[in-house]
Amino acid sequence: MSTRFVVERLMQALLTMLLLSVIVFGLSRLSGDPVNLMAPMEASAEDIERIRASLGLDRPLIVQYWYFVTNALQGDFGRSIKWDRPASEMLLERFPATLILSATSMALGLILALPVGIWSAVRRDTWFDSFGKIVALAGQSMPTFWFGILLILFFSLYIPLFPTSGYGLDSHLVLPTITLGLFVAASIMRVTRSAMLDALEADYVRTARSKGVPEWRVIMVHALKNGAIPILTITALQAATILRGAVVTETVFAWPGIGKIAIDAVYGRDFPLVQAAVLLMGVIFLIVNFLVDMLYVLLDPRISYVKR
Amino acid sequence: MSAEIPLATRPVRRPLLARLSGASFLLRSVPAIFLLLVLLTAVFADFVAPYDPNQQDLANLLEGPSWEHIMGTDSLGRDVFSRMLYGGRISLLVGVVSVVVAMFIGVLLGIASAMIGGRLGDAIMRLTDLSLTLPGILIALAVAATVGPSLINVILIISLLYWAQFARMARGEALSIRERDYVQSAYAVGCSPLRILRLHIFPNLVNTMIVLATLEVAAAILLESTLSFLGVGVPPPTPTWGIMIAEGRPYVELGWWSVTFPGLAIMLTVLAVNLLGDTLRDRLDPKFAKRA
Repeated sequence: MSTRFVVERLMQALLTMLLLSVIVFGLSRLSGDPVNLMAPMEASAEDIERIRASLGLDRPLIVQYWYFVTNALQGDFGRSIKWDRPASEMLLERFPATLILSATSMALGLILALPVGIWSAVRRDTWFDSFGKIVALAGQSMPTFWFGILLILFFSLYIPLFPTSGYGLDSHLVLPTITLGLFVAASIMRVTRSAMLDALEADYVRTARSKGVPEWRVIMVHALKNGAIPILTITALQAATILRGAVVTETVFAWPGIGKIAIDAVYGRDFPLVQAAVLLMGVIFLIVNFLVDMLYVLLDPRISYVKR
Repeated sequence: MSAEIPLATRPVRRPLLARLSGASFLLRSVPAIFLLLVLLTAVFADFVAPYDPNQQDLANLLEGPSWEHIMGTDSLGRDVFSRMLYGGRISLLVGVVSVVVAMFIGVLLGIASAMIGGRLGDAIMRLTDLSLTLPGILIALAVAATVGPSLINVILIISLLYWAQFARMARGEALSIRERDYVQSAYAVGCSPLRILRLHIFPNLVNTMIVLATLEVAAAILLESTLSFLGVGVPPPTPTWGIMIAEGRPYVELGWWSVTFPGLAIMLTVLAVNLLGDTLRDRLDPKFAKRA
């Protein structure tokens, strides 16, 4: 892997980050004066002016943006208006919850998607294949929040197996994991199937079969190894989009992760917290995407992004 | 019968009955029929809907499905079926309009970047790549929370999130079309760039864009319902499928129907659009055609 490629991708990720910070900063200034939200009703014009000066809101926009970025780089995203605590501290507190949910959902997604995807390709055009296709398509077309609510309805209200929402016990994790896991599984399943179909038709598979390699070995070793790149790519990409699903899933199950805190902050018009959450999720998203690109080149040396 | 067609070139046709009853025929026509139904009932909701979608009836709240209310009533006694028909308006309107706007911006910028080339062209593409990596739903949330929810804002947010796909695709297509021999010869005989754009590039671009647009409409409808559910979409009292689910959620144990039916509507509509997109892709765009 050439260093030039790494540097190029890194630069691109940094540029995206910059764009994101401009958007986030711009939004916070579009939204009207935050001082009006913070100041008590009976505050006089002078009081408001004083608060504004103490927050640096009386300075030119460029200067404000500069402070915003330099502070953010030092991990200071301002204080939550509602909770009066550093936004970064609140997000870091909530981060493990999101991480746990993402990890279990990813695991469930893979456990479901890989065998079904592989078997659909092997048993192509059978009822199993059609069934898998319909399930995957339905999974991709289903609103995540609706599926989550239906799970609550059936498995905690009608049949009280799991708690409706909350955090702390292992059983709290089950329904959110199924919700987010199926959302993840659908795309991985479709990609696995088509990657395996491609691999199973390749010459080396015919060669392996003709020299008498057992069929399971042909599928699990020869074909799967060669189909691995698209499967790994979509898996990694799903790891990034899982954040999107997490926002919704955490809201439905009152799961105290960064998605939930972001939504609550949006409702409460707690802009510093919204900014911090969007930037944090943006950074995670970009890091994962960057790693996917690296992984891609490492796995397949034929791929090079440098020459365009 | 001297001019008989050689066997090998004669089209192979399966018997009519087999073609009509085949799973592929079903898969192809059912989504289109379903979408037509959704479209018609949404457009003519004023005539089809049995009740006013916002008419509250507190004496009959959370009534189960019956002959009077075929999908039951919600927590304010409003008819779920009528609200669903009106909700379809928002979903289809937002889905289609936002994608059309996105397509307009994307195709314009994509072609511009391909035709202009140079630094400006590269800059446009860099911007496209950047916006493809932005975390969409979060920005949508932040924007909706700042500028306030309204129909126009939802449409604008979605189109600003979706234009980049079109730009990237249009640029790639335009670049490859431009290199073809007949386009190069058109250049050579002195065709103006605008004429080449109109005669060669646009017609070759249309199919790909239609396929992409269909698939994006499905994604846009899902995103609209998610924004609605989260309370940052089209504001009440306008009924939308997402809001119906959000409003039914606290009472789901007492009235499964107020949540289940709108969700089914979203899922089936998105599924139908996705299937339609797959069919169009196989028909219109040989590059994407799956192996026979």
